[in-house]
Amino acid sequence: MKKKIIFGLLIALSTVACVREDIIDDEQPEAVRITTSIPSAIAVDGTINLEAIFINKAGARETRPIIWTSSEPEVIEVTREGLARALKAGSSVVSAALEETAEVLDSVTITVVDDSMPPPPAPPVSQEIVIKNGTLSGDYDLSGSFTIREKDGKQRVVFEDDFFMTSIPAPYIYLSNSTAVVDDAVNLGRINQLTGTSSYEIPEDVNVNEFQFVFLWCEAFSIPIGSGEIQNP
Amino acid sequence: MIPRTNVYVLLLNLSLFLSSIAIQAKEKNPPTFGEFETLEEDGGWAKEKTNFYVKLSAWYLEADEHFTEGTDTAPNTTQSLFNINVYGEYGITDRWTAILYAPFFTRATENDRISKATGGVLSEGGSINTIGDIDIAIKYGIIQNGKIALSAMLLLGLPTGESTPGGPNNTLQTGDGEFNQMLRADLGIPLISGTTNVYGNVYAGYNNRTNDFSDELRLGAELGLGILDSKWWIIAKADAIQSMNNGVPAIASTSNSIFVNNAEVFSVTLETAVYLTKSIGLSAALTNPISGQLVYSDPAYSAGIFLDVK
Repeated sequence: MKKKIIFGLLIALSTVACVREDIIDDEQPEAVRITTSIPSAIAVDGTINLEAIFINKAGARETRPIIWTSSEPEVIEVTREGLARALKAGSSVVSAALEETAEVLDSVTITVVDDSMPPPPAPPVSQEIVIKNGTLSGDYDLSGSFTIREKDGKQRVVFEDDFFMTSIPAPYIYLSNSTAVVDDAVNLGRINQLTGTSSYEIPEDVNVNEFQFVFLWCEAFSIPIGSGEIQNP
Repeated sequence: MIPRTNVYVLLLNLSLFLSSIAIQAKEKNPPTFGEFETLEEDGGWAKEKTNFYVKLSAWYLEADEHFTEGTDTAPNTTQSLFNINVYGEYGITDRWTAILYAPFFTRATENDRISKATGGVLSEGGSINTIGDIDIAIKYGIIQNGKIALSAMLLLGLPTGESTPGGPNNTLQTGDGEFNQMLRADLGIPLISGTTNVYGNVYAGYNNRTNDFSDELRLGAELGLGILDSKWWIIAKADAIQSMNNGVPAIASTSNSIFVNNAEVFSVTLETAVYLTKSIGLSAALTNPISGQLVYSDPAYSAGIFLDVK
């Protein structure tokens, strides 16, 4: 009897302080992101080589065939591979879809101007412009808006005046395609204040168009704090 | 060939088993909660000269949730803390008691994270094994009579654990790296004496902390019931740790783990201790946090064998 009790206790205690597995619910809708930066307008006969990436249900990049279409083919013609050519003045919505389903998952509007039209004014080189924005929310008490700004070729994520986050240890900001994990995300650094404006530089070799979310991650607990979808202003 | 790590875990569990087949006693036991383990002293009562009490015990906490604020919780990657510790009290005189708490083996783990979407490994877990933070204390019995027991204690928490975040994700620690200096007053009152004994004890302490950690106010109360001629004790406790928020905020803490600054907790403990002989006994305790801030919300367990020489 004693041996059985001892054996039973040993079996029970063998489960103590072992490294086991947590299943992380990281499923999310599949997505396509057009990664090419679109100028405010292009001239007739101008071309743009459009590129896009596919994000799988785990929030990771995956190679899949993508096809392109134009809503106004007489204004913009686009090959299935993504080479867009301006034919006449006007605008057209160019869409990217998965080849296997033809489901449109991302699109951009391209404006074409002819030589007789004045070109749209370009912002001064030294002026900072907002290229993306979004709103933050999450499991923790997190709220406020963010913008992604560009100046002199450098980009940064800015938490605006209305930003608020509850106190949490080791919070980091990422550009990510997942709202559950940071495995394929770009770390922009440790968040340095809980309220109001703060900013985080984006490395120059990072294309912000390749990411869907500004993602906040608590390294102490290895959990998401919250996120905001990156949108065009 | 058995992997070395398996042997290590086996030895660890054997130690835990050995420590659980006997245990503690006395009138009362310790408020233990995760990184907030504290000395388990006899409340307001001081040890009589040359009397001593020593306990070998194991303590375990596994948590997949933590308090964000109040009773609100959020999930976290499952982490665990386990230690095997020795706790001792020795009566230097009838008034002065020396106290030692030494978690000589502490293990921190973090689980693997597996993607539900793909089944792949998102991040590998891991573990670290070190000595934990050691506490030493001296207690002075100010008033020791049959009606009340009032004492004052100076506790020094030594940063002997591993405070640099380690493991594969740099999230595992076995200590906070700071030096605690706590002054604490205990008031114990025997309520019923005889074949059944009942006592109450309350305490208040102020923990001064270094390395930009916030100081803490510590409060607690317990009620003990001893039956069968005090051979069997049942003890209920409530403990609170309140941050004074005078250190760096959690967001700016250099810590990357659960040993973060400004953590707070209110917990209740249910404990039992049985004397198997006049001086040897077993004890077991369950501590359940009720509310808190930046602290695990899962219960902690402990069990041990004690020797109580009077």
